[in-house]
Amino acid sequence: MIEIKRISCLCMAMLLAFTVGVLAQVEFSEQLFLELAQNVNEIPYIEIPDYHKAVLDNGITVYLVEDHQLPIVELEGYLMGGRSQENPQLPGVIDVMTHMMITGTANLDEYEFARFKALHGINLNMVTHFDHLQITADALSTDKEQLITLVADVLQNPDFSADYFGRIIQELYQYLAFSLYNAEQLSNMVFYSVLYAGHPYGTSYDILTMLQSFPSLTPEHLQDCYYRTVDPQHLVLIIVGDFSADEMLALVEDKFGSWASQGVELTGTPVIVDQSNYDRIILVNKPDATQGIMKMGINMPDHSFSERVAFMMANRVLGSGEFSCRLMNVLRSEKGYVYGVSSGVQYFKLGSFYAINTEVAEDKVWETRKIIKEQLELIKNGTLPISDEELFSNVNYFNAFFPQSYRHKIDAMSNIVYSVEALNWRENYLNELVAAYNQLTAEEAQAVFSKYVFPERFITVIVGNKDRILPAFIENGVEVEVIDLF
Amino acid sequence: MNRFRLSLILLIISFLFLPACVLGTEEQLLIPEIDYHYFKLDNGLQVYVIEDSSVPLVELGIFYKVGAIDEPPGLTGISHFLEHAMFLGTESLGKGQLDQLVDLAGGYTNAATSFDFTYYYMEVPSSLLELAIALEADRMVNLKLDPVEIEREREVILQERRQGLENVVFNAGLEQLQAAAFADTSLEHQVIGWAEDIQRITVEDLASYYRTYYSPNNAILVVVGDATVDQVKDLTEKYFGDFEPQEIDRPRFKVAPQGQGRVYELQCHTNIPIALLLYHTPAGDDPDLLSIGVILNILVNSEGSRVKEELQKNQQLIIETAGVPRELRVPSYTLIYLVPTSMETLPLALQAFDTEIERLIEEGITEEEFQIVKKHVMRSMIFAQKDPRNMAINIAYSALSFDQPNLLSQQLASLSELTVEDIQAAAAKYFTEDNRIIGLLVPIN
Repeated sequence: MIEIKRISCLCMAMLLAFTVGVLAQVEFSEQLFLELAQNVNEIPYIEIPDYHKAVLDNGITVYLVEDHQLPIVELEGYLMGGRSQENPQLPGVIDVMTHMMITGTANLDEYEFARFKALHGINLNMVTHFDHLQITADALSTDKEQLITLVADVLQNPDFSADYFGRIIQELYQYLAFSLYNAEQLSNMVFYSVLYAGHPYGTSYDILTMLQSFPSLTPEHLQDCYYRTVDPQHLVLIIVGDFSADEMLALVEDKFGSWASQGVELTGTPVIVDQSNYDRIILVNKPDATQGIMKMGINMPDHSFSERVAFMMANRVLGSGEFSCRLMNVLRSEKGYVYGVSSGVQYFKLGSFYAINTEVAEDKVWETRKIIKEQLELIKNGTLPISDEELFSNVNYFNAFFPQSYRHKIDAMSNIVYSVEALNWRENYLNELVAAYNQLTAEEAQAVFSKYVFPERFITVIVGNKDRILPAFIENGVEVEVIDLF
Repeated sequence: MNRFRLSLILLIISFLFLPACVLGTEEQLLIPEIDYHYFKLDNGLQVYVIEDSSVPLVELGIFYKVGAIDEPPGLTGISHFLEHAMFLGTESLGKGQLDQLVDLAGGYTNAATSFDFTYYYMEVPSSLLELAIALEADRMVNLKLDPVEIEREREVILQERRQGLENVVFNAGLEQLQAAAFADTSLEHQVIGWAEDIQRITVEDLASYYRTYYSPNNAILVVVGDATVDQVKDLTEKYFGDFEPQEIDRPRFKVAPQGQGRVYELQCHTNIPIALLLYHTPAGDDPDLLSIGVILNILVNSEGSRVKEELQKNQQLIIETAGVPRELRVPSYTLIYLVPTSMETLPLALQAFDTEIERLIEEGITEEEFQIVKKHVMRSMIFAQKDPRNMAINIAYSALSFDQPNLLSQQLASLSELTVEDIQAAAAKYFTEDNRIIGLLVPIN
């Protein structure tokens, strides 16, 4: 079927094409390329870097890997908890807390902090996720002591009452207000608040609530958040680079050893799926927009989902974002409607989601949504099941690129350690994952997709101009909830 | 700007790395040397090879010396349009087959267009090096432009424009400002081009543009990864060796002398104003670019830079600032932006910024500031060596645009000779009120 279609396209192209060819020494032909492209990549084996693991008396878990290829030291830290620990009435407080922590400490005021980083060439950042805070830092190996000293100071000695508190709140408030003009931020706000209504995950992107609550935030709120979420027993540090593991461990013990655990217990309520959300379509009116941003999604099991490998491969067939995936093939290569479209699962500890994202011209929003649902149905009901060829292409790609993803020891260790420490997976899980997708059959991938994907349940959030987007929905008798923010 | 997202490669090129060089610090660092091989075919195709067998993959990139600054009036965006068309089939392969072949073999391919070059790349298992070279050779000379497919792709490009430019406040504002400030020059439009020009470009225009610029003597091929220089030599001879070079009649680039010192107020969909300051600066190989980079670092980019300390932290007039030089093969501009806290603080922020510039010109910089810049350069250079592809992109870009593959290493070697007076002189020469254009992106109403 596919071959016939391709030949027919070629014939048409030959008739219509404007050709600008030149003869070459080699006779270029489809046959030549098909022969050159014959390739089955070997199943890779991901080397687990030699590491030293230690648990300090206060509960900090430390993984150390010596890597002398370059004179650098890289640190990655996971502080478990994250936004899941927030009070839904005060969304964003954990972001403000981390912002304050990486601006200054009780030992270094704002100016001294920036100067210290600049003089020692230290890069330091903290990012808030749903289930953890992620700390990344690096420096040249000549500055490793300063690097560890600074990270330890940031985590142990915050100064939430510092004189820059008011300015930080004001700056973050202005960024939030600015993000109301960003269509993607708006779509996230509505999507998360509907999918995770009443849960800390759901208020994480709630710009409107944050705009209301930020002006009344006090240093005490941040201090309270710190006491409830930051504790050495929930911290895992991975340090990779040009050092001796023994010396680095001594340095870590020296800088972190006196930080006493307060026995902080993390909380967390599993997400409850609200069935009244099924098939809702919500349009956020953004009158100045010249396109529609669309996000379609459903709830999925939490991050312990046992069939995630099969689902991952099935999803790649539908929406990897590559030209070969079905959504790109139909919506871009055939229709010319989108520049990009992709789908994927975001796994979280208390409840995940599966979503499809795209941006499209206003007069094509309705039809694009319809096509996406059709493509979901084609796999779901087996009308156009996942083929061996589609699965092989993705397996072959993964086998080629998996080793590259973990060529740097910090990347491999970061992934392995998070899986072991946060998900309780085995140390060798990367190679188990490789084995699992290589053993998967197209039928199994198809079955798992059918089991968990329900096209009629997808929530759709669109951000764009309602006057130009809504008529096609009305014309087709589809109900849309409209939110007017502007 | 590639087929999936807007990105300007130039923004990441500055101060990346320095091969085979040692910068002094209190504790000397050993910087690994990076080797590359170079050869040139008789038809002018230049080839750079960086061998790296750490994983069994190879990346092949081909740079064509053509970009948005080469576009004639009325055909803005044609370089980028052609980039899209290069994936739509050749005499031998139908639409999408190039992607399919690379995907099926376990590889990846994409492309990007900039102001002064167009770049195609593939990353494939090393056993497929021949496939990658053959595919690039085929589309260098055998492109097929199907009118039906060009019409469909036109819609994709228009959507890309909506997504990456029209609906992004900063980019939409910069487009308006460049249009006003650089009217009637090659810098008056963005890489993606004006929507009406994208609508207007014909198959014949694309074919003509392709014939003009896609030839071996207007390209540089870069191979990085698990391949030897001998393999690459044999394969490039085999697949590119017979292609004929051609005369490139490049339009003369026109620099805009008008507009200096002007202030343009542009209404945008935003709640806070943004000030864009465009300073006229020379081409990317000018020795002054080194001083300009240092000035930007000290003024707005580094941790604890002067403008951040004074305008953001002390006076609380702005919430953000940064700067970047556009290092093209022609004179261009350096962009500095300020995000004031409100419309009321906007004029105060601009005034305070000028005060910092004056202070830099009059008082120069401190030894500590210089030390911080050197530290920044050294760490950037060493960290960049984690990925040899960065090296390849820089070498190829410098060779293509300036015929100086080692330009960056030369610039960085000059860093140790740079004096405070050089920096003051550059500040006085370029960062003046009559050498800039200001765009104020302000909320509508």
